[in-house]
Amino acid sequence: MLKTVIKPNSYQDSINLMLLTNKINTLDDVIQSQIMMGTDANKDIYNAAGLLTPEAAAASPSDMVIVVETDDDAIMDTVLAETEAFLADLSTKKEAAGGPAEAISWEEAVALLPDANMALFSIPGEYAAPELERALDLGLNVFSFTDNVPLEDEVRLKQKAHEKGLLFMGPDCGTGVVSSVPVAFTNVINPGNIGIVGASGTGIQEVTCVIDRLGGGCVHAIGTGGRDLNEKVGAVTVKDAIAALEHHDPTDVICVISKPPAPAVRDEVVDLLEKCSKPVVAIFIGEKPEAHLGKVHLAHTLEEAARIAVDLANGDSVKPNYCEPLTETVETPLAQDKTVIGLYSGGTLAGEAAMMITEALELGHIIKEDGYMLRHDGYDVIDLGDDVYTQGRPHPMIDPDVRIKMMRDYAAKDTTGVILFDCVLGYGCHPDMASELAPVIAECKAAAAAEGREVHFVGTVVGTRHDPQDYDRSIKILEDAGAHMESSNARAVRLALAFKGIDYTEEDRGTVAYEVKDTTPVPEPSEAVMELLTTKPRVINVGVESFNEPLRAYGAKSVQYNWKPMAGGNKRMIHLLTELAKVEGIDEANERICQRFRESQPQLVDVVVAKDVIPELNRAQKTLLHAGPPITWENMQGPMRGSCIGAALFEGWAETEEEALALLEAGEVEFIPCHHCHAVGPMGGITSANMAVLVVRNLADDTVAYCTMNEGIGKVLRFGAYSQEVVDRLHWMADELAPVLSKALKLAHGGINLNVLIARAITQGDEFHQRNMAATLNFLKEVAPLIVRTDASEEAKERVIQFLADTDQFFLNVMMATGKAIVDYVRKDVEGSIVSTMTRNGYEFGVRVSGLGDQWFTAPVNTPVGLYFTGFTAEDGCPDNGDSSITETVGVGGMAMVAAPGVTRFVGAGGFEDALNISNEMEKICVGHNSNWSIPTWDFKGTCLGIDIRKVVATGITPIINTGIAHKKAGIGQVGAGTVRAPLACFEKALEAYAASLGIE
Amino acid sequence: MGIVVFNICDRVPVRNPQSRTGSVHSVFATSFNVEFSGELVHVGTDEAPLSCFGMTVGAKEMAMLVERVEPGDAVHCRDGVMRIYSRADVSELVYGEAAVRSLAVPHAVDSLAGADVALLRVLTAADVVEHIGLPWPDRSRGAVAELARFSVSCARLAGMAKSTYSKEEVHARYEASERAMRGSVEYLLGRGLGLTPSGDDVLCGFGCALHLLYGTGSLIAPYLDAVRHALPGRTTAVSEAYLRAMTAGCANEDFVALAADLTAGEFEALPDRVERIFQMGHTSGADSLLGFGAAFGCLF
Repeated sequence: MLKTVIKPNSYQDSINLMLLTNKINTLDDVIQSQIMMGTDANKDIYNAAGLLTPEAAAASPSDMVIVVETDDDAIMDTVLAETEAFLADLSTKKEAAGGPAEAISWEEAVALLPDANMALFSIPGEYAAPELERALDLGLNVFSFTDNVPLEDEVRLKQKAHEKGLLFMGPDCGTGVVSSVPVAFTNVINPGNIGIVGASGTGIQEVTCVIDRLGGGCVHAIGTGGRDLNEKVGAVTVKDAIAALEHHDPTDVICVISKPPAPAVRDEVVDLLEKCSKPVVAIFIGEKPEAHLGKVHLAHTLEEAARIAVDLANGDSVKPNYCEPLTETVETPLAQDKTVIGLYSGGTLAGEAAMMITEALELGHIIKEDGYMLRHDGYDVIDLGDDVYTQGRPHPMIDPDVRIKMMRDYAAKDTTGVILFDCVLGYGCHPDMASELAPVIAECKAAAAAEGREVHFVGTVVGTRHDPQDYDRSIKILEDAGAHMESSNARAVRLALAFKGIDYTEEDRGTVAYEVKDTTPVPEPSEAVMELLTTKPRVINVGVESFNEPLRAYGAKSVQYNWKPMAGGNKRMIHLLTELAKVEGIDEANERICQRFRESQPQLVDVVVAKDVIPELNRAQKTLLHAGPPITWENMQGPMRGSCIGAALFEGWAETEEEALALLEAGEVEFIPCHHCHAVGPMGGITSANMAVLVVRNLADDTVAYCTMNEGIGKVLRFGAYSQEVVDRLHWMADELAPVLSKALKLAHGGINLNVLIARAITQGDEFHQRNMAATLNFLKEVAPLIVRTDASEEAKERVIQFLADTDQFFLNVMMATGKAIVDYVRKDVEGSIVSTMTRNGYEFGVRVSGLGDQWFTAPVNTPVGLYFTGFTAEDGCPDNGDSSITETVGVGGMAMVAAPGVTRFVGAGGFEDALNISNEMEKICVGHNSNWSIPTWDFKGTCLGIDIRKVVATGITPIINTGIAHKKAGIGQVGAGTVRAPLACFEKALEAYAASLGIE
Repeated sequence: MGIVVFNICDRVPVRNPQSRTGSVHSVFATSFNVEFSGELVHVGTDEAPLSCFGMTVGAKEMAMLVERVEPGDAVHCRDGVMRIYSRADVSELVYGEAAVRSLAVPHAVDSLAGADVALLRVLTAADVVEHIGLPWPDRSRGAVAELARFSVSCARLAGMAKSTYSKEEVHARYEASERAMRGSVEYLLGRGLGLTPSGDDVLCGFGCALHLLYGTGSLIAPYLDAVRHALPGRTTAVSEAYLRAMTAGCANEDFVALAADLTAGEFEALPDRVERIFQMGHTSGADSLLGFGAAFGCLF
């Protein structure tokens, strides 16, 4: 059976997950397992392995997917425990190392390392292109270990890099040395005066290691990625790198290494090399040069390229022939039917072996199919690093399993005479590959011997004595196991051929003349590239954390950017965000929008009858305003329906619940969102003609907004109750409370300044959604003397004051009207990507955006999570409801959780630490802060200001809303309080529309 | 930007216009040596005397270099720039425009009248023997004495010293002293501790004085041959470099200046000059002066 666990939003890099998978696979009762991120590409891998469960299929790219095949029902507890331990260990190592701070965005990374000059990428290729481009836009040279970047993106990005005067190393650049600093999977080489340009990772490794062992050294080994000499790419990076090394004084010799290139591109590269003033050597794997060409020394093998480079570096003449005799002689060659097999972790080494065997045995030409570089008459040479063998598995330089299996399989065949192999050392490789391979070699040889056969293992260790692994010990371990070890891959292949009775030699090589075709001088490199080559790199490491190790060990500075795919890996959203990032003026527009928030001056000026100020309520057609985006009766949830019934009874449209219901179901009542009428309403938000509404005026431009008054707690209309008590209270509020308050407010010149009340109350523990106690008391302090001065009866005054004193949440509705007065002022400037409305109707969540006017972007609401009053559970809760999220829209409520840590417990969200974390999280999706409302517990930062839909979608962080929880059935009322997240879908739809409004498809 | 080399001795091999490849040999507190195919190049500061196989840079630049370079680092010279390829960085020493100095020991063509007395006076006052590093049992004293006798034989043969011996007797005594001198060289070479063993310093100082007194002709050739013949593998690479320079007629800046003072009769300058030489190494200065004085017959 298959068991699945999804860990949402739990990103880990692929190498860590592969290592974790390996670990889980060793557990008893685990038949097989796969742990990967939930990207589409990875789902294909799960599918191919028969592990794509429905939960795995539904996972998002930011989710960690754990699928285990097992017969043990209870295995997942063990699997999860091991997983947690593994991840915790990674985290502990990080903390124990006491390393530098880490970034989670480009902005943070650049702030941590402002003088960064290189970005090193090891992220999934499917997300890489926009990130690579971002690095170029930030003026960084790029080193992309990341592969699987589409060719057209590589072409475009390299052209862009070239135009910007930056070096683009990669994609699929596994190895590099920059100013003697090893980068990515690479060996530690002696510093020296040879500069290498390599379109081949293992090609660079082999050449640099041989150079090192010959006493030479390299100052740079610039990897260009394997496709740079492709016709479409046109060797952009190779040419830029050659030009740079030509002008780099410490480089005395330029050495170019390439996989088989496109002929025209190769010729351009040779032409460029011919114009260099420095000695040059080049190897194009697969070519067998008969002569050196002009001043370009052409090598046939990687070892030869290294030897020529060292001779040139020492000022010595290039020898006509570098094929030195093998130290081992083969007395008795193997029988005719015995073949040579190559099992390589390094692709270029496999290519070199295939080339030499093909030439020696005249087998035609090398191939590249399904990992085979040669497959002819039993002669197989395989690149085990090919995608065919590495889908869902670590590279063979890290994980020996695939090679070990193949060694056993081939060694067991009668026809196998020799097995060639490589053992690659260096940063990123297995810590002791020799010890992994040696017992298998010994075992295979013994098994063959028992059958009366001979199988020879011939290998090379690609490494230096400075590498983290022990070079000499690796050789010894393999020799002790019976392997014949040579100092280079070429020599190993020659020895293998010697076992076949073939003495592989090279012809002496002279020089033929060459006429330069393009006589323009070698281009001048850019300042940025020369700066890269003349200083230790300062690197933003995007991806695998272990890449920091060699950088820091050898004098480079680096900062870790814990990259996660933007927008949870949603490629459409990534595309839109990337395109939007190129549009100028959005940030400036958002700043103008935020300024409107800041300059708003809300004043509570009156309390009136709704129909007197809302024309839609003052007509023959029965009309009710409701909370949230537009909704029909059919979709209304229980509490809102209950509120409608209550309003119908209050208005006298019906005498009984049944009559009211019939009226409503018959469609006799028109429903309009409060928001469309400059109003807001809490919970159900139902507002009818004769209800009293607060009037808040924004003095910035006299924008006015309305909201019904808070009825108190318990059975109240807003929670869907409609008993006579409710209706009576509504009448009292309209007939007495409202007029008294109206008179009082008229005595306050211009009304009550709400910014001052809010600023005061936020320092007293209010967040203005779930907690308004301080604000209500402050309001009472302001309004009570005014009430006393009115000509209302003493009894009325007493009832009003007592009501205000008893209603802790009274200010909630004032704050809601305040928020509406602010956002309706803001919305008069139609620009920018700032959220101007957030609201819910129990069915849908609605968002409006500053630059998109009145357009709603809706998605199904979530149900709040929190604490329930005794006797109620989550089963009873109604989905999210109310215009009260206007408070979060203007930066209070859940967006200012840290101002009211007490709320966190009330809403079941933890304590102060959680409140702080939530506020810090909300900060990430906002543009700035509103210093009008400064929060002492947040180090006096102003409330979050300007929710930016771009940031919401990019981070996946949606606004958090503090809210009461109504019973899902009408008439029961509030049953709890909690928090709820706005659904991401609203913001994604808004982003689509916003991008479209700017012409982005 | 490269590091400016102020002075460079004309013997330094990198001045050969062809590119040279070598490696850092040894690194000290205020200097380091680079080796090119068995030949050393000393890189010191301009606050110390120029080595007869060296070059000098500023003290601040040297402080940075000794932090950076390590034994084994590759060194390549091209177009007047010496590049040292260290893990920390590539250091460029620009010697192409440096002032080229000859540190050949001058030969006093005219007699050094009074020089021996002046030198004896200064060396006695400085109490050289008290500061030497050479162990001073009878064998060492005897070895140095044989060196002194060889110098006297050279003087007689050159007609620079009065002698009652016949020509044949002078030759015979020269040959006898040559044999004894070879024994002394064998005894002294590599004897003592330190980067430049005391016995080597004595031989260097002695050879420097022989060049001053007798030039580079056949008279002192047996001594130079004896040293060259005994050298291989007998002492440190640095000391060997100094001895080879001596056999080529060169010495460090201070000794060349001392020789010049004596040649010019600038005897008042001698005390300061000797004092400066005393600062060389731990005992190297005193040991070298011992050998130098022995050639003048001083102290014996």
